[in-house]
Amino acid sequence: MSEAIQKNKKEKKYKFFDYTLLFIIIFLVGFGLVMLYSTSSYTAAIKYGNSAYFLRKQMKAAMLGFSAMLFFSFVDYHFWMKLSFVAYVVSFALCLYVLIGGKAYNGSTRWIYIGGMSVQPSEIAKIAIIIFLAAVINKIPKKMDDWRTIVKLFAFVIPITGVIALNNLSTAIIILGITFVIIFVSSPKYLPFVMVIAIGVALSGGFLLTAGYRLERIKIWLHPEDYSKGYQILQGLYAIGSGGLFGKGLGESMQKLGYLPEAQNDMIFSIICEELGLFGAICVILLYLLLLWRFMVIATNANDLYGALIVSGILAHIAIQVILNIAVVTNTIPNTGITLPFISYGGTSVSILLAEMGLALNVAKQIKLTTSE
Amino acid sequence: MFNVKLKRNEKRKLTRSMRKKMIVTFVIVVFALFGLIFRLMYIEYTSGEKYEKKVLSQLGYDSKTIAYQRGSIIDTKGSILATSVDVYNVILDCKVLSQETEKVEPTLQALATAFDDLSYDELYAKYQANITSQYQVLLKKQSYDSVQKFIAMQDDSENYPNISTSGVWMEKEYERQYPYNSLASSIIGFVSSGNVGTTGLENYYNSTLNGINGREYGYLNSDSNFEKTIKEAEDGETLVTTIDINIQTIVENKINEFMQNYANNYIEGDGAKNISVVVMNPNTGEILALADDKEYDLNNPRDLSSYYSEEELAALSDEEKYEKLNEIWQSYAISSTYEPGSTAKPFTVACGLETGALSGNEVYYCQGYETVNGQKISCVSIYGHGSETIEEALMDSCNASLMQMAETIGVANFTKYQNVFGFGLKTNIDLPGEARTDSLIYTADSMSAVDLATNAFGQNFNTTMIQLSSAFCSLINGGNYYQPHVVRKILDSEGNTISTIEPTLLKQTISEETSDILRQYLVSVVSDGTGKTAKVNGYSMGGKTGTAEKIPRDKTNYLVSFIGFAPAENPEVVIYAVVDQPNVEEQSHSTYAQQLVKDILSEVLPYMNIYMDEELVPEDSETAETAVAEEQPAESTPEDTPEASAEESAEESPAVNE
Repeated sequence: MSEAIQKNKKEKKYKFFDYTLLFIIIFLVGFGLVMLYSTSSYTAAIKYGNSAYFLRKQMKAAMLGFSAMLFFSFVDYHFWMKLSFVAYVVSFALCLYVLIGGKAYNGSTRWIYIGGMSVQPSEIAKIAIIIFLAAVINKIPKKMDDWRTIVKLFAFVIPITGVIALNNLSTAIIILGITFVIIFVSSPKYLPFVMVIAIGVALSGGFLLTAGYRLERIKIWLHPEDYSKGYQILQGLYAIGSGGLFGKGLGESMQKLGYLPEAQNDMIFSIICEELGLFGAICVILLYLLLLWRFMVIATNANDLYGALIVSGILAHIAIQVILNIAVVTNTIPNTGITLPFISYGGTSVSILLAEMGLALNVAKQIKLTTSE
Repeated sequence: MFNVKLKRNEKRKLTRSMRKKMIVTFVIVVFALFGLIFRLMYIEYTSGEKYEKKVLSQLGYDSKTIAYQRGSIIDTKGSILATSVDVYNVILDCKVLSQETEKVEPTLQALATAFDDLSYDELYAKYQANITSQYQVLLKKQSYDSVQKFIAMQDDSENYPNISTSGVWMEKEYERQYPYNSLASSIIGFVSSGNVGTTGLENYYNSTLNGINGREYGYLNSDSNFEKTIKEAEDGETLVTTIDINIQTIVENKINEFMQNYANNYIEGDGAKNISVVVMNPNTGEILALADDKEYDLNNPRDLSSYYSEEELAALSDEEKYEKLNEIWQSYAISSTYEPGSTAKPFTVACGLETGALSGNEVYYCQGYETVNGQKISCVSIYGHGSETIEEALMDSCNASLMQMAETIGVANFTKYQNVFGFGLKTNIDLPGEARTDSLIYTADSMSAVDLATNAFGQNFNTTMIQLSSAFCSLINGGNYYQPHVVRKILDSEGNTISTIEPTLLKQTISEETSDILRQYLVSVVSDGTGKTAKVNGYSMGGKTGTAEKIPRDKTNYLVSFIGFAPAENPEVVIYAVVDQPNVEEQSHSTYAQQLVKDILSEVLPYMNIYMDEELVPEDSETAETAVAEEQPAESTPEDTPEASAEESAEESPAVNE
């Protein structure tokens, strides 16, 4: 009896909640909704006769995402360890299914219907891979200095990325990136990873230079003004350039008025630049940096390896998407469809991201605070 | 909740190297993000301006702005004072035309045939030089009729099969036009660059008159096809003014006649420095006409050729030109302040009666001057008016009696009633540029006994014409102070009434009884007092003259005025005329303003269907008397030595009594 009381007291002492992280998340989602409305209202009014068409859908997804976040922040993350393999298999199956029975939009088949909602299985695959890899590595931490283990782990991920790559190359790249970061963090070695990067760059460079379709992409990248397919990227650049230091003011973008197609998706950052200027854009980037810094703090202080790896995976997920998205928008790398986390339009993406935030919050909650008394 | 028990071997600790790697990862991410920030700065720095221009130029062709039509301004009877007419710019889309090589020559030939100002060779040169351009303006502001010839050729595919239909198009615009040119220019005002109201009503009601541009724009749909959508323009709203162009025309003609008659009369120059007239409906506060001598052509507002010769214009600096333009653009009655002179006397009397300081039965004695605080302030008649009732004091415009009244009224009540009558306050008439007079009147704290005495007969404080005439309306209409206004209705582009501006009763300045007494006094002023000259034969009228001495007080420059109403019993019109420095040897005669009022009213009263209510008096019998009762200017300069002012008055009085 007395033991139980003591235990209770001990648990109370451990209570920690990362309010900073929670605040950043809520701010980002709120800011995202404002920018999404500003960006999409004009096209939404023209196409659907309702200026809040995209906003309403995104708000629904955000609500769902917040409940998911709440749920994940309360459920002990070790619970998912047992389900990690199941999650991997199910998401793999869903990704296969989408190839056969998916719904096409913009020329790619990426959606399936679950309970009346359209869902993008590749988004689910991201969180599944993070949990799966963290669980597997947690079982074999000692073997991580062996390059064969590293190869084996990559081999696990290759099938699902392959399936996703068939119709959504960018998500496949993100999943590979997440995998790379998780393995990099858990292995004591540096050299193999540097080599992987070197080989990857060499291979993809060679690939891009030889394959015709990819070659065109490179040409568009170098001279967007000469190709009709460079229209979107060029209009995005016009938007960024015309924003100036402090932008044209919220809601004052010209480019969103039909010039920049699908502005609310991948190109939303260029509208942020146009309306809020360089100043606003840098603030947004710094906000992401703050978020990633919280993840690093949580990961390095996590209670155990499993939690640390999950948060590293989440860090990788968000960092890769932010970097690639802004790199595409600024035409730093060739165009590939990657959304800006929390801000771009995309229901599944927001819901899954918020669920991931719930996971991170739960890992943070279990950090043992030791006082130096 | 959901605490999961783990086997011992499942709970692993992080190693130091893992923590290190996490930090390495984070640092790499930080570098990448800062790299992107620099990339953003680079784009902004190297191409910001270029891209900004691109964005603006895209508006030109990918989507077209559909211009709205700015609302009209019409007079109270429906005549159009200002309106926007559609004009067309001829646009050549070289890029589109170049894709139909066989049509280039016939299209350019057709353009050269249809428009006299275009020649084929020049067109071809322009086309070649701008082959990638989608927006080349060939001609600007063509009328609807003049572009029809080309449009007919474009549509006639049988006779002209090779004229491009998409390579040349007409961009519709609106041009502001003022059918009556200079009429009521200081009220209407003009627009700059199409839709920016710069002065007058155009400025005050700019956002009401303007509509919202529509757009025809293209966008890429989900299949990357170009689609076009049209959002129609919303046209602006129309103002129905209280101005009656017939009354306005009469007023402006009479002002011009005066200016012509007295031009180069005494000295070389204009007939007067300023002349301005306000005609109001005292029962609503509506402005029926408002004019000054400096009206200008609204279709050509920057033209100064009527004021200067070409050589003089060339010699003027831009600043001087702008100063002169501002002078002619603004309305004297709204924007200029001056000392009103004796037209302020009825207000002093009304204040005295209303506060009970005066009973109405007082008799004053005028000895030709009044001594206030040791200062001798003289009256119009140096011999003195003798004993004067209040009515007689107004009829003779006796300063001495008014000073005695003011002393009885006291500073507190006097300043309070200045405020009640709106002196020192803006009237908030719906015209821009109303002058502020709050610093040009005294407060109860700053008013000395001398100030009180001089203020009583209208010197030493400043008003605007609109202030004085609005307050005067309340003196004679039973004490109702109406908001003066120029717009009485706003219509939408289809002509439906959106809002009606009803007469706004702002306050009760004086009681109906006081107003009745005042009206009776003012009728006596015109029938038997100093205001005889203004009387229109056959009409009962009331009014008050004013002869204000201007600064410096050297008895050379005067501002003469007359404010009157008709008919005497139920006034339907109030008129206030100010003649600032008439070009005559002796400026100090309010007859100049009175004659102007008489000339205007003798045409306006019949036009307004106001019936004659008095016997016609044979004309010749009154002319001899007219000037006899003419008032002398107020003597208000405390600095003047008593001797000097007495001397001057002595010299001038014979001239007055001529």
